[in-house]
Amino acid sequence: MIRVLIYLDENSGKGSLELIEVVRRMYPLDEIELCAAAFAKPEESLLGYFDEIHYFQASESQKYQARFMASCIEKLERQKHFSCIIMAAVFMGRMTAAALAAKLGTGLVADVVDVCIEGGEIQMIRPAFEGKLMACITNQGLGPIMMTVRPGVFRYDGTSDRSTCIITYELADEEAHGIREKRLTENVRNDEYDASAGSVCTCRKEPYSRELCIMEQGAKMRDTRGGGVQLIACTRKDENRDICNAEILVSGGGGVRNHFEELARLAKPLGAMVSSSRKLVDEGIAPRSIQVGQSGRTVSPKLYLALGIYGSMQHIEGLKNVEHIISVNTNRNAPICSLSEIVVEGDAVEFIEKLTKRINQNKN
Amino acid sequence: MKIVCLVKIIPDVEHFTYDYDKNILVRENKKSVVNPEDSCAVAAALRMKEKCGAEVTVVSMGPVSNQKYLENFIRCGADRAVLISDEMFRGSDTYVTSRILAKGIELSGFDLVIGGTHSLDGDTGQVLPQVAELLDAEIMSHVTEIRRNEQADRGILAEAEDGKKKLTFSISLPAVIGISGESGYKLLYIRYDDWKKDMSDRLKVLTNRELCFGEGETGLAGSRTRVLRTYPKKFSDKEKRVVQNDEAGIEYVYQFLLEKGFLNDD
Ligand SMILES: Cc1cc2nc3c(=O)[nH]c(=O)nc-3n(C[C@H](O)[C@H](O)[C@H](O)COP(=O)(O)OP(=O)(O)OC[C@H]3O[C@@H](n4cnc5c(N)ncnc54)[C@H](O)[C@@H]3O)c2cc1C
Ligand SMILES: Cc1cc2nc3c(=O)[nH]c(=O)nc-3n(C[C@H](O)[C@H](O)[C@H](O)COP(=O)(O)OP(=O)(O)OC[C@H]3O[C@@H](n4cnc5c(N)ncnc54)[C@H](O)[C@@H]3O)c2cc1C
Repeated sequence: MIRVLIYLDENSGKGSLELIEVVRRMYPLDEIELCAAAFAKPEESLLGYFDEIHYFQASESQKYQARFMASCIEKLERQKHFSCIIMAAVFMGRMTAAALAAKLGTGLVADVVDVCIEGGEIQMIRPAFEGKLMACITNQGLGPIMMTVRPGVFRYDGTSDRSTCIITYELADEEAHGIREKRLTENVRNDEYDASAGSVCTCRKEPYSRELCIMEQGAKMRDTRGGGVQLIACTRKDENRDICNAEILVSGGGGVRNHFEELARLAKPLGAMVSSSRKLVDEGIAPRSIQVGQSGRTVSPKLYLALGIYGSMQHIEGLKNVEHIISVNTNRNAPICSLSEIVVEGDAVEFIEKLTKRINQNKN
Repeated sequence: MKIVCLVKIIPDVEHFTYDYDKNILVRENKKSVVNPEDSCAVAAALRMKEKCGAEVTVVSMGPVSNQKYLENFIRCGADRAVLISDEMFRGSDTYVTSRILAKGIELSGFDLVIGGTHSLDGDTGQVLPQVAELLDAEIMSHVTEIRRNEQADRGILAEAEDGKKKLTFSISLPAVIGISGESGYKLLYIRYDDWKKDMSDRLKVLTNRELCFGEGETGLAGSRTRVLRTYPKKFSDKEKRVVQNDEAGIEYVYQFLLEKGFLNDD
């Protein structure tokens, strides 16, 4: 039996599920026990995907203590001996993974975008040198295979038919530096979770959760520090109204010339900014400051929604390191479509209306 | 306060050479540059020195030919520099690199270690958290600003950025801080007179004679990861999906946005 641990990043939501796809590719033939470690209350939508979710009830500050989180996971590893530990290559995921690998003395591969098996050996592929070079890397250590995975690369379409057991760990208050699990609740059948949501939580008494406490008292932990990072403020970054800094751009071209103001409707629920092709700038519909392209701005959003944009060379020139492109076009063969992950064939204004409605519907 | 700056000299990513057979970088005699975030890190340290007094040591691991870069940091205001250089260390992965750097830092003495969040070449972002673990110090990366915490005896305040979030932390020392490229810290130009000054007496080279690692503990042999092969990136099209502007199509887009985390905010 292969046992794998996945770190559930608080800010990634269901995005963490894509890490399961990595597991599936690494061990296509094996039966897998899938465990997860979470430091924020696991979302209901994650139930059913894992056999166990180990939920460490961390305070807001503890969620920023990489070494603290690493030692929680380290203790799990010491009991469960995972074949593999996977974390998303995000803000805290990267730091925590590195601290954990150092604790375990195992190798860690960063920012993995692909995995394959060759001669029975698991190989991890990652970009380096600003993405100019791809490297194929193996783990040499004796410990678990560890990697951080670039978000948004994998996609898991598999089932969610596992019965998930959530094991909750209460942690010492943050004043006390270091880690002291006071007590654990071996629950599950947490009534706050709606069992009718499709996944069933079964109740299992796990003796090892007791052991965790015992181990804590017995073993001299080196972790005297790691509790010295305290969050004192969290604000939204000054919304710099520059499209170059936007994470999401809703961009319009000739195809939306009569309804450019509609773009803002979709931009709002996405927290996106509006940009445009040169066509609309030349026609006086959009200001030059939001023009994308060779004679405009170069942008690097994570998501670029191209609405009624043809995708001329000069326009594409302004797209650098865009992670995902979705285009909406009446012509599915427009050049922008060949760069897109999703092409919606049809009228862009109608699309805005429908998608906005769909998003708002879920919010209410 | 004793500040150690970690600086990596990297091949100019525009023109690097890589030995594809041995899987190591060919660095000697090629154009190199200081990892940009590491320059910011030194600038941040010098700013602290100016404001509240500190002793700044620049530590770097790499070939002996990197001495000239380190001397420049002394000309900019660093007090001394340490180059860790030994044939035995070549080809080390982040696990080994961190162990070597941690030993070097310990020898220098430190309250605060400042480096880059990640390098442009290896780009793992793993070295600083691993160094922090080995030194039993606090860790925070993606930091855009640091200053002394007037309220605390031995502590700093750090601002960090996680996507759209701006986070302020109070961090106790000893700590390891990774500066972000977006920090805006810049090194001042070296004064003309200083260019000619000989700084070699303030530069020390450490080899394994001082660091005392056992055979097989460092380099490729000691590494816990192995680069099997590398190849230039092929630009293949992403898998493309064409949908209609109907309910199923909209649902597909909606689920995509949800899954990729674009609908999480607010
Ligand atoms: C020197 C130079 C510099 C330039 N610099 C830039 C630059 O910086 N940025 C830039 O963008 N351009 C630039 N251009 C102009 C560029 O060549 C194109 O003319 C321009 O990008 C076209 O804009 P578009 O794609 O919005 O419009 P169009 O070419 O009009 O394309 C409209 C697209 O929308 C689709 N469509 C039509 N109706 C609908 C509908 N109802 N719903 C959905 N889709 C629909 C069409 O199928 C088509 O694909 C430059 C040109 C030159 C010569
Ligand atoms: C193509 C390729 C892929 C690789 N992939 C991996 C991998 O997945 N896992 C792995 O463990 N190793 C990997 N390595 C090895 C790794 O790049 C080296 O160990 C490297 O020396 C340190 O890692 P980094 O550049 O990623 O540092 P990062 O962690 O990105 O650097 C962060 C900061 O640490 C400091 N720092 C880093 N190196 C030094 C130094 N030599 N001297 C002083 N300060 C320094 C600097 O302040 C720097 O800004 C890879 C190497 C190559 C060539």
